[in-house]
Amino acid sequence: VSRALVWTSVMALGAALAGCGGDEAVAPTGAALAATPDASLPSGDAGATDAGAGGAGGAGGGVPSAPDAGPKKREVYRRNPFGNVAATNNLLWDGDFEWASAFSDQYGWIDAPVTTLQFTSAIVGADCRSGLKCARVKKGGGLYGIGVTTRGAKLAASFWAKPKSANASPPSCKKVSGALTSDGAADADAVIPPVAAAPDASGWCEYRVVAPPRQDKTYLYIRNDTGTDLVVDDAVLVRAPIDQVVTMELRPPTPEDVAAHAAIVEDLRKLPRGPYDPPPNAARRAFERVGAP
Amino acid sequence: VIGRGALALGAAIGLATLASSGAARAASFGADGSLVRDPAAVAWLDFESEPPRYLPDGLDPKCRDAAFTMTAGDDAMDGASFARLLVQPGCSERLMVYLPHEKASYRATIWARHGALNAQFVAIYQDPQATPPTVAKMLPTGRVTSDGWVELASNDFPVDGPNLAHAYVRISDFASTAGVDVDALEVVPSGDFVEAKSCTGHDDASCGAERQCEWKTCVLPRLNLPPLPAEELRGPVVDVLASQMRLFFGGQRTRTEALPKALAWVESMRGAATASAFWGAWARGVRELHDWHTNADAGIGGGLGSPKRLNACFIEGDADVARAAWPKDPRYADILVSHVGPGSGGLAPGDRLLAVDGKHPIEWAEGLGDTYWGLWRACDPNVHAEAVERLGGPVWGGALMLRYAETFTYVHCDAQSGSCDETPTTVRVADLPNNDGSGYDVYCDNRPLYHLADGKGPDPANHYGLWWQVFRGRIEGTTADEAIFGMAWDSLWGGGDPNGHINSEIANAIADWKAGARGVILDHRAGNGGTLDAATNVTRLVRPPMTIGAFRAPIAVAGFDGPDDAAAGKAIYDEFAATTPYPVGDPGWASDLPVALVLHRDGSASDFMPFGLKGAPNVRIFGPHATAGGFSTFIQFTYWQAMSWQLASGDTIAFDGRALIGHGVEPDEIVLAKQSDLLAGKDTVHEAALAWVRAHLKGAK
Repeated sequence: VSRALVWTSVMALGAALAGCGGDEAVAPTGAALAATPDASLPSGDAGATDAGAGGAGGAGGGVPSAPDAGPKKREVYRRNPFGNVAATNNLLWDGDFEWASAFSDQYGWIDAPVTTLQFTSAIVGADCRSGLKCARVKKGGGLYGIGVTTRGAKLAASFWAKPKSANASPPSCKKVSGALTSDGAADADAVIPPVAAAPDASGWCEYRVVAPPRQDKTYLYIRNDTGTDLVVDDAVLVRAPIDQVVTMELRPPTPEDVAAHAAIVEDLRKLPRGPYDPPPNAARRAFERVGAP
Repeated sequence: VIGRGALALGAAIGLATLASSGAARAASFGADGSLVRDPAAVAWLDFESEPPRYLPDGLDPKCRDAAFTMTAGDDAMDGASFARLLVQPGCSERLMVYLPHEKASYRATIWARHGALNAQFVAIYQDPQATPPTVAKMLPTGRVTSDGWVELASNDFPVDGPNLAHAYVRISDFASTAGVDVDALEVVPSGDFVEAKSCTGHDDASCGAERQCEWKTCVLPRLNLPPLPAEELRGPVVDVLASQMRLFFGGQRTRTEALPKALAWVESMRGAATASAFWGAWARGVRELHDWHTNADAGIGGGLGSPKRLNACFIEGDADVARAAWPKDPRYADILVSHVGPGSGGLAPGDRLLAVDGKHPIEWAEGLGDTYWGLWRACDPNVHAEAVERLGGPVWGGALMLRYAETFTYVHCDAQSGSCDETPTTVRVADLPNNDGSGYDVYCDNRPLYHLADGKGPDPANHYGLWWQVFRGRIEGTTADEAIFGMAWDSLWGGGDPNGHINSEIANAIADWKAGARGVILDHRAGNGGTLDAATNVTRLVRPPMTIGAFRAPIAVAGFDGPDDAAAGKAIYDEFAATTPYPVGDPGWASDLPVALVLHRDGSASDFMPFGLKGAPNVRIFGPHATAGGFSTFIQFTYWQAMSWQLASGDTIAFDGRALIGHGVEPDEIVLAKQSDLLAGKDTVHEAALAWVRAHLKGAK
């Protein structure tokens, strides 16, 4: 019971910040992250832009390959199969999910709460915003993106989520919570609020924050309270330029914040603390014999 | 058997006239988004009717039933239906494709949705010994559709049409729950045909720039690799791969000494003109990281093998018998035959391997790294055991000489007389007898012999079982009064479960030894690592508690190069010893029990374990050299089941401030296997350990 309450509280914190002043705390889109790699990527309709074919970005949907000629069977896009390669120096191990495999023992994302190290939430296809892989977060579930910090520099974080509505009401970006967190006590969690309350025309919500420098190894935590499955993609955590404005709401932590962080610490400490060399995995060995006819 | 060629064409298959080779082509889309087949296509499957299946001889019965259902839908990629694929674990579906009776180069494409598709185009030939199969992986091109379809394509692959037995696409689904939809397989002429060609070994340049010699066959690495990224994406892809290394890789020594060399190779990718050159330069960079936990794999040469057999294992040793005629290489240990099985090519325990392709075997094996993706190296640059262990052994466990050598040269020594031939023997690998399948392929575990009484160790005929099993008992040749017990095992996979298999074995052994042993020999000569808890548990026998190190892995601060000096290291230890400790010892440790630890090729948790034992009051470590120094963990990345890589990340800071990665644990006594002992059926390192234990027995005056 206590665990459930704690999880609820950390998300309540996120929702509260997003809904009550969170929008105001966000610097203007583009300006806030003007120097970050993904700021050069097209924003908005992921189904109607093409950063993958024409540039280094790789995010966005892609330009239809044929002109509009009435009712169409489908649109065809071109994506960068290597994902958002514009996000060089991404401090997340694999922010764009493009290097995911169910056979990995230690991959860059972990399902939350932590029950296994195998990441089982990767999905493939045009539903993704950038590249060809992204994550599906089940309702009430979450993700940890594993990253690093860079001491002495502010951090700019962003990710995209595509919420659906669980009922007749329109989907809301505020039902998705994000935060920069850690398994230590040196840094306050930095809530990552949505840029807008409602999804853009393509159904995607963007979340951004610029946080003060952090001491501890940094994780990106995303939780889905939309009441239905959620697609998440294109997470970026980079060192922010020195002149970039901190957009994280700075205030003393509430007891709820402290409890929420304690729950995260408890969860993250389930991760291995030491080398991790499992015995040979039969499934993996089967794939390694892929050359056999 | 389904016939070849146009005779077996069904409604699901179209055959077009072979167009001339040219640039890569594929289907396009009409204004309404409908697929328009490439007019040059020579074959396609549109799944309008059930495609013919290929069932190889010997197929597991569970894989015989069709793993797909034909499904009608307006959103089929081609026509009005597609296949919904749901393959059982361990199986694949194989769909026949009919290609022209011509020698040509092709590119294959297929569309999939609602999950990921593992797809390869396979051509097998009438005489598979003369012409090995062509297997080309199919990977995303970047084209996707609003109704969820994702295009996969191969790089150009050659097909010797006149000699073709069967061509098919082999597919299986993953990352799906209800299966993956598949449609619109198309094969289009693309590129230039190259004839199958045999080769003599790694140094054979006749394969040309685009092929490399694997298992005596010129293979095209590009068949296993992603395509060369489009020109405008190439630089950014390199930037991302380089930043992975810069931000996340390694610890103090590996970052300082190896990372710059690796990054230079990654930078060279920018000038690559082919997929092989591009990804080959990147994989070379990964190998230059020189790290026990770090590797890249694309399965190049996978599925091939050798009709020959070289059923022998090698070990670093001291050729004290054959030394006079053949001096020691000052750079490396001598290489001796440790143990053999049937089909050893004339090699016998105690023989000395002088050279492979004219080079010292270690120099030769580590030199394979210019093209061999699987080269395994210790973090400690002075350790070469990984290369030596893989010189021989079974195809699935090394066999580097069978795979890459043209010749090897050895000196045969006679066990009866204890003397060696006056002249060395050079053997062409191609002249080795064919493998008759008799007996076992011996596993190489750096143990010439086992020493547990009553045959309690692994089967000496094959050396199998140490990957996961723990063997223990009284040491052979000792008396009941001496009460010297031993344990042979190679896994420290505790997995965080104190009641798990390995941890239970360790705990039970310690309890037994405390109760009834006067001396212990721990034989851990092919230590494959595991987890820290198991390493800690071993140390509970020999020392009081302390936190001997702070584990700082994976890396926490981007690009952290490690502490500047011991004082800075000590500060890190002080900060993190409580939160990420490597704890050792136990208040109830056996203060009067001598424990000998025998090492050889050990890494990761198998570095931590000896580090935790070293310096304990009644412990002595025996071995030929240091352990691997792999004091970190790793991060894994995978590209569509085609290419995977693993980067070591982080370091461990000792209680005195030392950054440990790259500095293997040195034995207290450097002992190499003596050739004279191998000839006499003795195990030098074990004998040294036993002598020390006997001299320090618990309770002795």
